[in-house]
This record gives sequence, C-alpha cells and structure tokens, in this order.
Amino acid sequence: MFRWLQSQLPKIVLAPSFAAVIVFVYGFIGWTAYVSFTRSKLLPRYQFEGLLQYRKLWQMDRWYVALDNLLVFSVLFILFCMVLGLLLAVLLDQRIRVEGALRTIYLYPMALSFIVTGTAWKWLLNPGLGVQKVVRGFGFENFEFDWLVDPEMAIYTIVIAGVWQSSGFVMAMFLAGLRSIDDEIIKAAYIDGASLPRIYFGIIIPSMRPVFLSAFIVLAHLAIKSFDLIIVLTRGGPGYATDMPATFMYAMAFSRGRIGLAAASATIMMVTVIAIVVPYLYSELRNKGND
Amino acid sequence: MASLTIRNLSKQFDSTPVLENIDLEIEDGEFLVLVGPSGCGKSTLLNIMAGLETATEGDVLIGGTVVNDVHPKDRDIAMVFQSYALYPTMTVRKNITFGLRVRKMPQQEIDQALDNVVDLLKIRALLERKPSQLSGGQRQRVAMGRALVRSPSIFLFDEPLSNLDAKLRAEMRIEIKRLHHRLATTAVYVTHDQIEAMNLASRIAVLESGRVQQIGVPQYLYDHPDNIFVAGFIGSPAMNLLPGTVVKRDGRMLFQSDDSAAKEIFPLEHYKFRAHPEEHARVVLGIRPEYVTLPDSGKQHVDTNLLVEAIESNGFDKHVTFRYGESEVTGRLPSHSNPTVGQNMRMTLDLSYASLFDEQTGNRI
Amino acid sequence: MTESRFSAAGAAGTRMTFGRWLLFAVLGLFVLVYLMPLYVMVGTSLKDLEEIRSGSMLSWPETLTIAPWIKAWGSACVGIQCEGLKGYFWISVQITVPAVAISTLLGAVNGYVLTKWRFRFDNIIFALMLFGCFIPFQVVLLPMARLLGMLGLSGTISGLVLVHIVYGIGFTTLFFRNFYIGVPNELVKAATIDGAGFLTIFIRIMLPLSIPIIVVTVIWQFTQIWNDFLFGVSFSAGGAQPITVALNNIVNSSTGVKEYNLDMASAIIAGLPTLIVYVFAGRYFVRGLTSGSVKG
Repeated sequence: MFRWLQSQLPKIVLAPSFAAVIVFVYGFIGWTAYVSFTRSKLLPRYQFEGLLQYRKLWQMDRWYVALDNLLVFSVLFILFCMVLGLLLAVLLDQRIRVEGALRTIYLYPMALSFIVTGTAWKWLLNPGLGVQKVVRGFGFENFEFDWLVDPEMAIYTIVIAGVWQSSGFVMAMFLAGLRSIDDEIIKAAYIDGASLPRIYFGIIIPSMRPVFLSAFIVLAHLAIKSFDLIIVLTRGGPGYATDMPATFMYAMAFSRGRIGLAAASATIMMVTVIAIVVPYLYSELRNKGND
Repeated sequence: MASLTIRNLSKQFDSTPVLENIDLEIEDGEFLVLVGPSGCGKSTLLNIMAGLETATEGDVLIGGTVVNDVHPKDRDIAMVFQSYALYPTMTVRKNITFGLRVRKMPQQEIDQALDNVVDLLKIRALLERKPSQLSGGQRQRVAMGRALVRSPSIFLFDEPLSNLDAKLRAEMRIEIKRLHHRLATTAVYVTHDQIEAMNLASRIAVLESGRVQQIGVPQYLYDHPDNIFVAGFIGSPAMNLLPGTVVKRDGRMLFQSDDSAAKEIFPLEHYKFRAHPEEHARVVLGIRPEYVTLPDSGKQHVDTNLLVEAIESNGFDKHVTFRYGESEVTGRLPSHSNPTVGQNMRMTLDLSYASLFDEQTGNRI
Repeated sequence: MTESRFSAAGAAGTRMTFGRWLLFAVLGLFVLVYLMPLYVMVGTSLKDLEEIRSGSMLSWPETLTIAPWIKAWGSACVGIQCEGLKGYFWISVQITVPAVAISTLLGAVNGYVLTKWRFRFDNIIFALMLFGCFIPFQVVLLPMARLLGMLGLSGTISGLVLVHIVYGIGFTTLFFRNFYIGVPNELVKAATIDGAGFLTIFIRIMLPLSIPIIVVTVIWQFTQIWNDFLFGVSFSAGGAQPITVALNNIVNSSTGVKEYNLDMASAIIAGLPTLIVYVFAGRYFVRGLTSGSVKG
C-alpha cells in the first residue's frame, strides 16, 4: 500500500494544481457559458433560456461600438507593434555597442502596469495642457489635439499608449528570433555577395515566420484582453465611445447588474480567443512534445 | 559480488517489441559487454537490469533472487552514464558521497569510503571542484568514483566513453580494465563500439533488433560468428562477404563465387561445417581482411586478381579496397608495400578462418 | 550574444558611414520617444499646480517641490479615505509576495513532475493547464466573484492571493517545464540509483540547479501580480484594494481640482517596484518574456 502511494506521488503532487485548473478555469468557463443562456440579472438564475442574452447583445448599440473599437484597436495595435518591433530589432541587430542599454530603454514600459502607462499618457495627451500646449508653444497657434475627449478619435489614444507599452516586447522577441537564425546560412549568403538589405529581406525575415506568428498571437491576445488601459485613459468614454468587449463586460457585470448579458459577452470573447490560440497551441505542443 | 541472470525477458513499448526472449547468465565477477547498433535495445536491457524500467515479461535475478519488483536503490548496483550525470550544483566530494548521505551512512564511514575511491581514481585534487570545472576525462572518473564508493555487487555502464575523444577513450578503457581486474566485481557494459567490446569483455553479447545474436568470449565471436550480422559487426575493417553457391565435385564441397570472372572455386575441405548444405545452395563466404594478403602459399587458399580502388594507410598497415566482380573486398597489406589505384594485383585469399553463411537465413553453416 | 555569432552587419563594417549615422539618429529618436513619458511624469510630479497650468509639460520644473509626493504617499484621497497610497502599497505587497512564492513553487514541482516522472496523459494534462494562461479573464470574473463571496474571501487579501495563484500556475508550470526538459534525465536516473526518492531528488538536485528559471519566474510573476488591475478592481470592492486600483481612483476621481502633479507622483510610486526590479534584473525579465514564445 505504501509502495503504491510512493509510486503515485508524482501524480498526487500534480493533482491540486490540476484540480485547481479544472475548477477555476474549465469549471468557471462552463458556469459563465451556462449563465449566458439564462435570464440572470443581478443574481444568477439557472433556468435555461436559450439564446436570449445573445440576441439582446447583438441588438445593443454599445456592443457594436465595443466590437468596432476592438477591431480598429487590434488591427492598429498589432500592426504598429509588429512594424515598430521589427524595425527596432533590425536596427539593434547592427552590432551596436550600447545595445544593452538601448534594449533596456525600449523595453521598460513593459514593466509598468497599464494603469501607470495610462496615467502617463492621459496627462501627455491632456487636451489643454499636454501635447497640444507644447506644439502650440512651438508656434503652431491653432494646433488642436483633443483626441482624448473626442468620441471619434479617443480610440486612437489607446492605440498610442498600447503601442508605446508593448512594442518593446515585440522588439525583444524579434531580436531573439533574428539571432537564432543559423549563422551559416547568413555566411553563405554573404559569400555569395548578397547585400545587407537583401540578406534581411530575402533570408532572415522569411525564416522568422514562426516568431511573427508567436508575436501575433501574443498581441492579439493582449488586444482582446484590453481593459486596464481603457479604464484609466478614458473610462470607456466619452460615454461609451471607447468601450471594448472587456470594459463592456465589466460594466454589465458589476455596474449594471446584468450578469446574463455580461456572461454572454465574456463567452464571445472566450470563443474568439480560442479560435485564434488553440490551433497555434496544438501545433506548438506537437512539435515540442516529441522530446 | 553477485551473479546476474536474465530469464526469458521481453519488453514492449506500446506494442512495439524492443527486446525479445533474452536469456543471459552472467557469472559473478564477469565483465559482460552488450554490444550492438543504435536502437538494438541494449540500453533498455541495461535499464531493466538497473530497475529503471520494467520488463513486459520475464525475470531479472541478482544473486539468484528475483528482483523484478525491487527498487534500484535496493538492488546493490551502481551505474555509470554516457553523459556522466554528475549533479551540477554539487562539488566532486558531494557528488561522490551523495548516495551514501541519502542512505544516512555515518560520516566516518562515508569519509573512509571516499578516501578509498579517491586515491584509486586519482581524483583527490578535484574534490572541491564543481563538474563544470572538470574536463571530460575527469568527469568520467568522478562518475566512476560515485559508482565505486558504494562497493556495489554489480556495475552497470551505459556507453560511458562515447563522449570522449579517441585518445582519452583509449586511456579510460585501460583504466576500466585495470579497475575490473583489481575489484573483480560483476560488470555489464553497454557500447556500440565493437573495439571497446573486444578489448574489455570477458564475454560479449551481440544484440540486434532486440535479440541476442551471439554470446561468447571475444576471440570466439571474432573467429566463429554465428550469423552474417555478427560477422559484419565484430572486427574492423569489416569481414568481406562474398555471395556464391555450393558445388560438389568429386565428392568435395566447393564454393563458387559469383564475383570471379573466372568463376573461381574455393576449396572447403577444411571448413568445419555445422550443417550440410545442398548442392547449389546459395551461400555467403566470409573472409576477414587480414586473410586477404600478398601472395602466400598456405594450406587453404585461392589466388586471384583484384583491382585496387582505394588505399588507406594507418601507419601500421594499409587497408586496400579491391574490386572483385560485383563485390568490394578489403585486404591488409604491409605498410611499406606500394599498391596504386587502378593496379591489378595478384592476392591470396586465405581460407583458414573463413566463415560460411546461408544466404537466406544469414546463419552460419 | 553578439560576440561569437557571425553578423552580416558586423562583416559589413562598423565604420561611421552615412548609413551608420542614420542608424544612430533613428535609434536616438526612439530613445526619446520611449523616455519622454517618464521624463514628463517625473517633471510634472515635481512642479506645483501653477507652473503646470502656465508652463509646457516638457519643461524642467522650476519650482521643484516634493509636496505632491508626500501627499501621494500619505494623504491623497482614494475614494472617501484620505490616507494616501501607503496603505495600498502595503496591501499590494501582502498580495504579491505570497502569491509569487506559492505560484512559483507549484510551477516548479509541476514542471518537475511533468518532465521527469512521465505518465499516461501527462501531455494532455499539461495542455489543459497551459490553456488556462490564454483565456480572457472576463470569462471567470463572475463565477470567481461568487465563489469568493461564498468562501467569505470577498474583498480580502487572501482572496486575491488565491486568485493570483490559481491563474499564475499555468505560466509558472510552463516556465519550469520548458526549463526542466533541458535537464538530462540521466541525472534523475543517477539519483534514483543513488537511493534518492521523488522529493529528495526535487529538493537536493532539481531546485539547486533551477536558480535561473526561478529568477525569471519570480520576476515575471511579481510584475504580473503587482501590475494587475482587473482582478484587483473586480474582487476588492469595499475591501483590500491593491495599489493599481487606488491609483486609478486617484487619477479618475471626479471630485475637486485636478491635481496633475499628484497623479504623476502616485503613478510613479505605484510603478516604482516593478520598474526597479526591471532595471536591476531586466535581462532575466527578457529571458522570461521570450522563453516560451520565440521559436514558433
């Protein structure tokens, strides 16, 4: 009996963590999904009611605004982060002595909370006293920069803050990816007479496809989860002009007492993430699992 | 000191057979080498002996007792690994004494055991260093020290020299041989290098595809391989294998080679047959390179012309690759002879230690 | 990293050509872009409100006062209480330290089991645990809030510690598992033959050589947990709030005069711990960020 326990010790040790994941991840997902099919308002009700919350969701203007913002934000955020990250990575790959210091500077925003970043940019983009005032101080009397309070443009302020925060991380990923390419391929190309840009565009960047994919997945994931930054920069406003699914869900769940609706929005967020991440994870594990 | 017996042992990984019906009797004090190509199952067999893996069928006996369910630490064995497997964060001293400390041996006894081993392996100067500060050869010594310090009944070696360069390998081989001579502990040694096998073993067991192909003393395996696989595996450069047929003329058994343009006949009168082949049976004749020599008149030989294709000198002699019909034949010539590529040479094929194999089954006839 | 590797750029030479000047110019420009917000934050936090309103945000403070800092720490108003950030700072510490320690330890032992004590379905179990890292947490907020309420942990430090541990396990297990895969299995075999059991091997052999990954994991977890806002704001209503929630309260408070210098000082106080960790142990941080994600 004791021997049996000894041999099962590894599984026993793993069990609490695994159980926790089952309950707190899969169990909770199940609960939320179930509630999204009920009439729950302030308190959960467990009577199955079908798709009524989803129908309500898709009738709400605010939800469409949230989705639209998510799309706009995601595209711009991912695009700018990748481009900026790649640019900086390529530049830093050029054998610079102060590379370490530069890397530190480009990356430090990642160490900050989104709340801190949001606070900083909230001030920088302050309509009266921020960028607008500085540029006017340079002589451009009529320069206006009130994006932060402009319902149309506020979403772009979030893009700016987000890209500032996360592009350094993408740069770090790409730099590592650049450097992991087999030396000998580059040597061969160099001997073959290829010019530097040619080597980059023709050989290095194409072989970084896996890294691009990883970066895309991480950024997409960050974009969908965007919550902190929005809350502190604009509070979802003006009105709900900068709402995104994450802030929408929070508002419905904790301010409006409509948890069925909140659950529906959360479930949709969840499904979107799954659709992107699971195929990626599956192929990753298949490659690494063969140890 | 103990004997090690493997009885009718088989091992499958998810219905893929890795070892099949292995039977081995290893005497107390023997140095048995398990040799074979990669994937033949030798490391798996060693792991099963150690208790790190379990057999699907069959028994492992140490000193006559079945130990299938006995934990490695209770089998009184020690193992030396290919990658040394030294604990990277511990000093040499702590590495060697780890097993003793885990068993809560009294400090005095630990110190005593350490003392004995350290001088034996000449590693006293290394005691306070960490593995990362040691060379490959030093690490291997420390790994052996860790195995020796517990004075186990059986030593298991899993390709311990494969990571060393050629010179170091040769030195360590002699070291191991000397240690075994001194300690006379039963040892099972796994390697893919047949030179190591030939040099170290009191007996060799050749494994292929999970089966024991042949087991015996090195010289016997060398002179009388049981099948084509063993013939080709043991000995370097490899035995020459010539396909042909058995013919009978005037009551004599003869070998007619496929390759010879003149359809040369090789007399087989002095060959010790194990079975009697039919006329026209398809067979393979095996002749070791050292029996392909410059013209010599011995008792059993055939003289023939061979075309030189490649020459390798190693200082001691020359290995010459000849073309013989459809086959390649390797011969050994004295170092100061002067073969040239493209030259047609008259060579003697000495049949004294030839082997004859059935072409179909590969077994010795 | 650049020393032994062949760089086409390096071979092309590092002479100060026009291309090289351009390179430095662009890199320098980005240095300004990344540092500017920090500079403005620090500068603004040291000015008085008069100077902020009249001057440019880019100018170096003339008044140079630390009053905003003192107020931020000791008497700023968060909601209805005006005791500054010091209490919330301490709450964040009380949440972060246990959560980091426990989630790291669990990750280590999980990674050890999953790589050195393989068993049936362990790959599936790992995949299931890994998946937990990727879910948007919105989908667990509601049930977690209810559960915490039922357990009486709503708005408590312990409640948040539990939350952070549970949702940190996925990452920490990933880090350690990937690290332990690189540790040769023969080490465990040798220790087994030496007589060490499951726990002994973990404590006396695996842990000592895990220092690099422990550092990475701790830094990663510390950053994630200290900087968290979502869990903080969802589960701490009326109770123990971490400093990120307090900061948001200060910055977005709708009452009274907008004290920008106070906001900046508060933000810096909130961000200082992770920033300091980053400055001193940044390269481990980078290694942590890119450990699982680089080689596609």
